[in-house]
Amino acid sequence: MAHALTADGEVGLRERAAQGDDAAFEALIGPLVEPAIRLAYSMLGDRWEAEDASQEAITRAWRKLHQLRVGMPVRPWFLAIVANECRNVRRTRWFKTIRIADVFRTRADADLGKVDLERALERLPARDRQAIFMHFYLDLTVEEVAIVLGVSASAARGRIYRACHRLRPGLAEEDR
Amino acid sequence: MMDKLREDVRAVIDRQQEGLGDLAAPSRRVLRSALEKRDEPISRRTQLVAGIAAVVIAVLVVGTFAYVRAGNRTHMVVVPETSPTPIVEKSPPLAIGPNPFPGLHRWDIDMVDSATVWTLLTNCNSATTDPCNYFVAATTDGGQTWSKRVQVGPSYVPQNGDAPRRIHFVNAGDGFVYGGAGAFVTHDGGMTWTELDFRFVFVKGIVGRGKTVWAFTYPCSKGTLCPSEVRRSNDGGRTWSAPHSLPLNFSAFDIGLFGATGLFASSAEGQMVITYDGGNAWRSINTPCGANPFHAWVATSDGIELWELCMSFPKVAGVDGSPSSKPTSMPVQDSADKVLFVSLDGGLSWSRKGTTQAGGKLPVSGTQVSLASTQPHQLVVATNGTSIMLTTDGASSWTKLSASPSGVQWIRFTSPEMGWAMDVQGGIWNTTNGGATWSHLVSFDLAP
Repeated sequence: MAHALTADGEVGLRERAAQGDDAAFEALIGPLVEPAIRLAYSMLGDRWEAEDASQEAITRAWRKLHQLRVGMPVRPWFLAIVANECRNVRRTRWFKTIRIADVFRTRADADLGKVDLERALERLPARDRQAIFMHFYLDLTVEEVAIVLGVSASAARGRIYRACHRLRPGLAEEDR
Repeated sequence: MMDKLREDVRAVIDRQQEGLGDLAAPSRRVLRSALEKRDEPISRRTQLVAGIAAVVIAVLVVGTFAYVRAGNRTHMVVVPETSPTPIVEKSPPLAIGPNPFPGLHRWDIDMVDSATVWTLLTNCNSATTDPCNYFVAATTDGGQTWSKRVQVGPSYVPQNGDAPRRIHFVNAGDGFVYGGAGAFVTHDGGMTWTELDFRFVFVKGIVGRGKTVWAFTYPCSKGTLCPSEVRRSNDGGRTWSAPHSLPLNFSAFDIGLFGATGLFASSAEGQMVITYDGGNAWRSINTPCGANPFHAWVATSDGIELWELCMSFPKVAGVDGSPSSKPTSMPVQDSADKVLFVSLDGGLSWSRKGTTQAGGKLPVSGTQVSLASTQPHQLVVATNGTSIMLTTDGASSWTKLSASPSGVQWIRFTSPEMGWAMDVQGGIWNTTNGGATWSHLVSFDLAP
């Protein structure tokens, strides 16, 4: 899930992409589409909505690329657009999708030792869960998580710390 | 501890994301689609938003003037004599007599109660009638008098499968007429009709009651694979929610309501989606029919006990399957093997309750099936090949209803007690006890 582009390569691509170079834009955003879909899926719980939200985010990214400040890394900037798009979708929809096959698999095949952790994750506030998802699963740094969430780095660090603390009682019981 | 937490969290999320599978190809597709979409000129989008805003402002201004000019008085709404939907307080027996519209054929009927009947009519009686027009008319006194007919939609060429085929009213004022690729709505009891104002390509079905309506549509052209959509309206079809995408490859064939807020839809292959809360949460349910059923029908009274009847490919009279066996006349699909399944846990598990194969204890034949369940353990099965069959003990035993049609096109229930059936000759039957007994009301001509 690591981002493959080096900082120097990214700068060159950004400049070319901002000037309308399709190939550069694809090279810049292409590696981020899969993490984007995964982030959107974790927020929306529906594959097709996740793909739609990611698609819309890419379109927005194309239009806003010239607004990207020098020195701002592309990955958290783009994932922030994805997260915003997902929040928009959640605000406007009147339904929630639960796929019974997924529920089945989770309950039937899950390692019993992970059930407490899974429940603890579900109980986390949405923003804390997003922080944990991005930091632990997408391997974003604390600073990148901060950019996506639109908070300071210390606030993001605090959010991740608090979320870990909330998850830990479940682990402590598991260890006993 | 932190490393173990990270490892465990990753394992849990990995499991949650399993359903996404390999995202390499979807990622490329999403990126390509986004790049195609980015070329839409932004000015056009801005113009659209500005246009909508202008219309809203204009409506508000006009509405305000109208309100002020009316002096805030209570209005008496005068319903023209031709209004198809005066409210009826009594329910005289239905007695749909001879066709009151000479030259027109009935395509579909929708029965709101025992006296209020809507009918969809057409002048199309052969492939040479051109143009074909479609009309609605209603009776509120059991068929003694009828409203004037009102045309719905434009004229169609006879071969156009998108022309209106179904009529459904959710209350006295709000109704829908729809066909393959067109849908029309009325909010004034059928006097005026307008096209549904959201984007779709094909209409799969519209159901509802009171002010709540659900519309199942397919947003892509034929041959293009994309998810079907469902929208909900809380105001009789005036405004609609954003679409909710259904699972890919799911195409709603049969749609039904249950309880106060339950709704299900099934595909012809038996896949189901179901909601218990009016559409806030949806679940997908896999079919017990197997990989390649010819057709499947679903019924439920409470969303927990689900019935599914799976039918294999029809047997054709005079053809035994061997290449040398050719029918001498047009083959007739007169029967097919069927298997009945029931789930008692909302589709989590299924058990087989009977089959039409030898010794299978499911006494139905035919190739068109209609299922209805009005209370747990009770199921009504009607086909174009047999009388109506009823079980009240969860399909352990079946009763053939002697006073019932010998072949049925469809059964619909408007409440747990009140139901209607149309037989293959065009006869209308009704039940007032959930399908236990049926009465023949009248027969009328069908559209060819």
